[in-house]
Amino acid sequence: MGDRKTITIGVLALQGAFREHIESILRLSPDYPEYTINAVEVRRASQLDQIDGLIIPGGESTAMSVISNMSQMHKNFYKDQDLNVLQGISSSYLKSKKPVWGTCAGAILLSRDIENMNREYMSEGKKLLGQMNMTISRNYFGSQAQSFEKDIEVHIDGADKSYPGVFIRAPAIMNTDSDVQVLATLQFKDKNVIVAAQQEHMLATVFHPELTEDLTFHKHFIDMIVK
Amino acid sequence: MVTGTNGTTTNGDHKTGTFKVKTGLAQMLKGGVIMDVVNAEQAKIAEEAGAVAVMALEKIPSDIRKSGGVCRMTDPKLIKEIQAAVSIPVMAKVRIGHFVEAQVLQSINVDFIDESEVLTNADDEYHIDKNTFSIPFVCGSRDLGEAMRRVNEGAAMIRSKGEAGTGNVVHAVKHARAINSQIKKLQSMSDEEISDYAKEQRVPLELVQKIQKEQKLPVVLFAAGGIATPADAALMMQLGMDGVFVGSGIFKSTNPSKMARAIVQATTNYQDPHVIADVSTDLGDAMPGLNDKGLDERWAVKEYGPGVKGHVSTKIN
Repeated sequence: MGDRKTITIGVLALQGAFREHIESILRLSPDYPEYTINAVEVRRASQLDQIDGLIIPGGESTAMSVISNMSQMHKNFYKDQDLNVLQGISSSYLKSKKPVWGTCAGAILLSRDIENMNREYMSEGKKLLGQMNMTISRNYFGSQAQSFEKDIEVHIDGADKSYPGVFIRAPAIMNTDSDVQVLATLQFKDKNVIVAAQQEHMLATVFHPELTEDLTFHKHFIDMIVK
Repeated sequence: MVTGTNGTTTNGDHKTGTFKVKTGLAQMLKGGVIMDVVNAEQAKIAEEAGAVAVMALEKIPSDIRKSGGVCRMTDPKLIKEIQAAVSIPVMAKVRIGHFVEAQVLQSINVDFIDESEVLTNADDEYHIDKNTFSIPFVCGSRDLGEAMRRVNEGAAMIRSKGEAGTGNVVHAVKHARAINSQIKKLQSMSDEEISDYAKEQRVPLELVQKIQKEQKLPVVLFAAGGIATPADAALMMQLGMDGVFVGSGIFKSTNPSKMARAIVQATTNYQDPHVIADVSTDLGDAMPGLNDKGLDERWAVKEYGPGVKGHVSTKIN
């Protein structure tokens, strides 16, 4: 066991269900005996150099974008590169092609086009990440009363399997460009919407794998890093 | 489509109102600030400051304290205006035990209901049976027993009671510490003692065992009641709370927008005194505040009937 490689997965910890993702990742550690797997909370852009994969958790997408922008207030204490963690993800982390996975709010932040989002959070200087070639619609299924659980069929790692989807005020992916691979769809009110998709090193799920016992997606994400 | 008595509706394998989706929304609010607002304009200020949710109210608690009359659910018209103004979750309060107010709020698609001691009690004996609703509830607690009784009734989130409207964090601190230390204490208790404790608190043994084993409540725990400054918010986070409610503290300060942003920043960076110092600088006046001596009424004691001691499951007396 002398030369085990270490991989470090960062979970954006501005707000939301970041601890559950860390716990899920650490639970998979025994599946990767040749690696030492770390999972850390990420709040500053300077931490992005130290991680091999990044998870952007569920939470409130507007809150996360506002919180990230506000970090510019603290330029007295932190270096320039620390000013805005979302900008850091957008300008350097994603360009390095290191894997990133957005769940729910995280999927919204990753999408190029966003429906049903207040324009103020999308104007120049307050940009979301916007690098997956798809259109996502916020709160697509309705308010909390319409939040639901449903088993969905996912096509992942060359196989079809049933997966316990937990959808909380969830968005839906309305369409994708041809370079985005659709991993799961869902029939909702006569319309087939996309609920999981991958574009190269970027993965998006509109549901919450961190709230279930099924670690299929967390394993898939670690595989994206170690491959 | 089958609607169960437990608030869950099943349509094929599409299930709404399950405990998982109710507690799941609370999970998504963690690390965030939930702000009291009394109109759409304030709701926008809150959203732009990075609030994870807003609590729609007719009056904020410090004004409720002054008004002295009976305080009830907010007019649905105002709640709808606030829902239309923001895309973050909208919460609203009902009186303790007033299940019809809760039905009304559920019918207008409020995202979360606060069964709150800040309003006037509607029922001196019973809290709402929250398991029968499809949307989640948050309830206040002063100690572990109260928290467990609310969870047993179906609450999907617990908050400290503190003393709302005072701008004095002392009671929120007391309640947070009580809940945490009582959870820790379960560790050293024997099976027999745990069984006695469950009986004494009138909650199912399995619930106490689960908390003993996991060393945390089965739902998210927020701080509320008297948080008025960025440092107050960070204090509650360092005491192990999952997030904070801020009521009068924001819109009773001299610069609400700046105060709101500062409290959000302090909550995210609660372990970083540099950030807290930065956001606390030149904030203007915090809300005036009210010491215990100035209180006409203690809201936090509302689980008990007047002059009656001891705990009863869903009963208040």
